[in-house]
Amino acid sequence: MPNSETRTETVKTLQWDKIRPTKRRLIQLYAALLYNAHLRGFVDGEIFQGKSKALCVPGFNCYSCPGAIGACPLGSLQNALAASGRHAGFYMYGILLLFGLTLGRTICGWICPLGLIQELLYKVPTYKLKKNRITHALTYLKYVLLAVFVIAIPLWHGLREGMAVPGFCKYICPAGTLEGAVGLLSNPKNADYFAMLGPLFTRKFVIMLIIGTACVFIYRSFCRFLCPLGAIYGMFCRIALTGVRVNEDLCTHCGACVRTCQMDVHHVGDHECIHCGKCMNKCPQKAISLKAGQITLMAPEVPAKAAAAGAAAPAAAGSSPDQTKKRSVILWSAALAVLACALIWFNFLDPSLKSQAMEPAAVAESTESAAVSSEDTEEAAESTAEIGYEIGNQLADFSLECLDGSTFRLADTRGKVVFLNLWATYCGPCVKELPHFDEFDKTHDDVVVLAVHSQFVTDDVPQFLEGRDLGLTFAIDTPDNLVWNITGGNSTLPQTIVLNRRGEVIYNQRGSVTPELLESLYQQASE
Amino acid sequence: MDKKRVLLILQAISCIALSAALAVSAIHIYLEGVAFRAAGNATAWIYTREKAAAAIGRFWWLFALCALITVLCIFFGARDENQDRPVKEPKDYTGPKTQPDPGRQKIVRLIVLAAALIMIVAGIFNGSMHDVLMKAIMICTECVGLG
Repeated sequence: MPNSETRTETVKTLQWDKIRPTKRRLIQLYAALLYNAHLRGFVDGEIFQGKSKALCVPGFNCYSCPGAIGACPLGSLQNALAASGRHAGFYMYGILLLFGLTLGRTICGWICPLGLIQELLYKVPTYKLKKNRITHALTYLKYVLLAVFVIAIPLWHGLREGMAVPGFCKYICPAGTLEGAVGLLSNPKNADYFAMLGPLFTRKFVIMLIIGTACVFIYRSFCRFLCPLGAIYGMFCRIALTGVRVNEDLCTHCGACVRTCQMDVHHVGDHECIHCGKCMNKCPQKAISLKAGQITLMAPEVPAKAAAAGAAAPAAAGSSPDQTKKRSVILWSAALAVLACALIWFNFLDPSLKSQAMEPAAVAESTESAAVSSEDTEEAAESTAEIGYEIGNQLADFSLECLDGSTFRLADTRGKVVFLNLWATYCGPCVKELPHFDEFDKTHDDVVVLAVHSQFVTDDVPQFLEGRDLGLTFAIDTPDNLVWNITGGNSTLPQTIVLNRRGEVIYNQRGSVTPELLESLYQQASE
Repeated sequence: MDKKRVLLILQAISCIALSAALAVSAIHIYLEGVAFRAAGNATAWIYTREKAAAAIGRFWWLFALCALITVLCIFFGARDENQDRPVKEPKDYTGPKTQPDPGRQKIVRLIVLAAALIMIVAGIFNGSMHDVLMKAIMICTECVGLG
């Protein structure tokens, strides 16, 4: 029965060949995991706050994703443009030039997590819509989005109002909705995040669903029609060091490469080409290969018969299959070692991973000071609530030096309704809501409002506030995050905490506030 | 009708139905929440975890149907074979784009590389790298679409 055994083995090999992940798929998965190596973020429901976030990852990966260890190049570009009034965002321009020059749109095809998600959605077996004249026309939409949402909106708000409004992130980005918003909301520890959901989330959620559904029927529909990052990288197609190259000596101009490509390319390697390399094996002349400069990274597969007959692919020249296999094993081993190191570092060793929660010593100190202050204040003595930042708790006492030189002491505010606003100059919604607090403060005598800026400062805060005509009391948090720790602040802004006259927390939420909400909270605190 | 075609049509319908059901649920929760707020409950939450879970729970069978059809499609080998066939366009294909002159390309690459490195170094010193870090570690809720 050797024939039957051989046949069974052949069938098994064929089935495995059909479903086995390609080298590109493995690299895509590897990149997605490496970009999101802070896996404990998914468990803790907190984003990573380490220094590695000063570096951008090349692909589309939201930095609000709990696992992200690097910044999103598109989000960072918008923020750099929004900050143009203060200083030019040279760093981001340089990073994009470097990525564009070295990798170009190879990033889209090989190391973009959003590209991977789109390709997996396209795997859902159903009828598919192939490229045509309409899809080709739609590819220009991404340049419109780039001009309006990535460049014009951030620049407009940044230069006119000094506010960071990343238009694409705020109104469209499905990666932000999926990885950032849904990623954070799906963790039960972030149940209070639901409080801030409103029209913006509804709109973005529906946009995400539309794009996701489109990806099931149309190959990489976001990438082809909407992705501004792809539009930027596409501009480097003529000079990018890495990408698919056509050997013009072998090419017969049959056009098989373009006709079988699922992207809207006109030529191999043009601005729509993501250099996935699928065309390498469609080319009857084997004239296409993936190269980085002069180095051939991938060559067309040689059919078994041809190989047996001694034919060799262009890249295989000079290296035997054994050598290629050995090189491949070494490369994969090195890549896995890097991934293992990243997983260990970003989950256990990074200095930023020290608990964000209040340290025991700080709690004790705050509790003690609260007790001392309660002896001085008759009203505070009435509150027997536990020290904490949850609703019903008594907020621990603290004192903080204000920007006007005075000292704010929480214990001194007993008998008044206290509004604490956690904000930062680089947070657009925070800046937008400051006038609401100011107006509210001016119209209520028995209210104390303190706006505390994050200890992470990018601007000269007093200079930023100059000319804004705000009469609020401003302070900057201490380097050890005193106010953030006491109020349960984390990596999301803005946050508002309201205390009643006894110093008890009646409201502690992240998200923007409206004048109506402030008034309603005041009524609630006065009861 | 061929069972493979039926499966593909069913899958298309169920995918669109699932997506539409989730979108309608989100809009419904939002409108309901807004109306409740307008009725004098300014601090009431529009979305809650329970409402979201209920909406997802209401359509779990659509998720299950999509998964089941996917399994059946794999089992019966149903897929749109047309996606593998080459398209007719572009009819005016004239071959690969001519590569730029290598010498000129090299000069452009060197200029871009130099510009990139200079900008990155300048960015480290002018504070724009610090901006990237700050925005990435302290996220503004509106910017990621939370609200």
